[in-house]
Amino acid sequence: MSEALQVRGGVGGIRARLDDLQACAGLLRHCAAELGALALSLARMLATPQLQATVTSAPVSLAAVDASAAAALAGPHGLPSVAARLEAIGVALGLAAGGYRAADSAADAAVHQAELAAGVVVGRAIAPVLLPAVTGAAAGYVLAGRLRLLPGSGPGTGTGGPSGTGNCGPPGPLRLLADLAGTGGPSTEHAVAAVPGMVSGLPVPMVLGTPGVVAALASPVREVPALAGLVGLLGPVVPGLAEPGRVRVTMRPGREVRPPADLGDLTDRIAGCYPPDDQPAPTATIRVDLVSPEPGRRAWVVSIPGQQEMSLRGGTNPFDLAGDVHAMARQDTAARRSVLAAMEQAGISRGEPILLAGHSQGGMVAAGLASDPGVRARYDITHVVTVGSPIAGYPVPDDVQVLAVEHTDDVVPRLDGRANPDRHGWVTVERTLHAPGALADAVTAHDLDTYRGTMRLVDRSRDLSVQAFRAGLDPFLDRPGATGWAMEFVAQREPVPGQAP
Amino acid sequence: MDGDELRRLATRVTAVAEQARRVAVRAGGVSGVSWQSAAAEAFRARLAEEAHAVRGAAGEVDSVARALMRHAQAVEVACTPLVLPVAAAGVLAGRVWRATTEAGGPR
Repeated sequence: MSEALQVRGGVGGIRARLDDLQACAGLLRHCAAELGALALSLARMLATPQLQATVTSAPVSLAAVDASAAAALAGPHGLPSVAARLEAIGVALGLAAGGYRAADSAADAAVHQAELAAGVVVGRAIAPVLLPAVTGAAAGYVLAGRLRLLPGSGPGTGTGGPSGTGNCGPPGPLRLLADLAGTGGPSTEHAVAAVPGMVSGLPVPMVLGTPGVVAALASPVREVPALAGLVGLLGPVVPGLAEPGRVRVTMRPGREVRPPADLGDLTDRIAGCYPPDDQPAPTATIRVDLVSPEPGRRAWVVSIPGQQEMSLRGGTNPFDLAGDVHAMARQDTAARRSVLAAMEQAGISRGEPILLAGHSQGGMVAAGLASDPGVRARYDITHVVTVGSPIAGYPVPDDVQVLAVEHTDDVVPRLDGRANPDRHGWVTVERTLHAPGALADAVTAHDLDTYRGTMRLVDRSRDLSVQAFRAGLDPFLDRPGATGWAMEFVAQREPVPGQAP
Repeated sequence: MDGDELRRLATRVTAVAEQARRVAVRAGGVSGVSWQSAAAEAFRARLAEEAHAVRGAAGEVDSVARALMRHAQAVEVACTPLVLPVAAAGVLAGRVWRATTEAGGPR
């Protein structure tokens, strides 16, 4: 298993370099303006009548002064001349940086257009096969549900465990598909990005679902979140996809702990939020750590687990399939409300820095909270750390520092169909687990235990961007004299009045 | 303006040249930007030329300061022939007045 890490973004990323170019362009223009001001100042000093009055005393030496002043102020090597040339270079450099940005954006747009077009072609090609398959599957699902044959039909359906996939994992064909997708790495991302095009390519009568589905299809589906929104509309038919958003959060007694020492410790805290692999998970746990680096200062670490409930019939754990789908659609979820309630009950105040750390769906919740202007008005979320989460599309503001750790073999971070942004405050660390030519193990790649190993490597990384991110974590990490207090919150979906639990 | 005032002006002009040199250092530092391409190399070469040109422009300003110092000296020298006869005439007039008053003066 390779220990090599690929790092994109951050202070060493392309966007940061373009920012540097833009800053340098500004500096050159500032230098040019300063030289222009110096020239003006010199001209004013030399244009005084008192100086010219000395012509009667020493006309020859005054003529020499005038000649040198003319060279300094009006000659080809004078101050105004070099100021103008410096300004021109500054403008050219700024245009070059802008051009690189525009080319980057245009390339992204062109690639996405190509992905969508390819998806449309595939959608039209598979339509004749898909109609009977979808109809048959839907009928089978409804029938199996009625006969209570589906997994998750009975009580205790949670899958639990930090793998987020349970003990058994997905069934054979699905697992093979996931492994193949994991082996595809970034290509899988392009394939996922083509899926909305594929759906758009299906004839509308193909999806004779709810009127909402048809209405949604009437507008072009161009991005994965829009597609996830369509899937979420199936909630009335598939209970496991419904997101009523009602949740009850209770706090367990807190305890004194050492603050996290590094990123590995942060990941361990997320792992501690999962129930044991062999136990059902009717409730979810969210951990909030209060870190006091010194008396009077407070910082907070919020650890958010990923999906623990896979049943299509739904359950009481808010970190479930519906949470995945609706979080992907950028919609409110019970998991999101659980975290907000935990932060509220923990007593986090405005002005205290917050680090949100999440695995899988937990990372989506973290990125979603950091992107929400309403949440940001209430809390100072300064850092987001995600492992194995598809968060590329979240509009996390520039002043929030993001570290996204992903295995290229892990399909989950690819599900948003786009690469993470390369920018100053967003570092993406990727690691490929499978050997070249071998088939990826997508389930192991998404497992939080595997990510814990990768995070230890991130802790040791000497990459410039990673080092800069780690340096910013100072308020949240252990140091001499620092104290920590851990609080755990249990979250459970509340039944909607009038519906059976 | 006398010689001293001209020298003070020259000092101010020298300060302008120093500021221009500091600008040259800052502008030259831009070449350290992490940009790698053929265009980047051309940019760095051009920037080095321009930083050199700014230092050259500062040298031109230094020339103005030197010219002012020479002018200050020239103005002082030019004033000297006028000052001496006036001073001598003053001294002479004083002596004549004293001699007149001591020899018989008004009685």
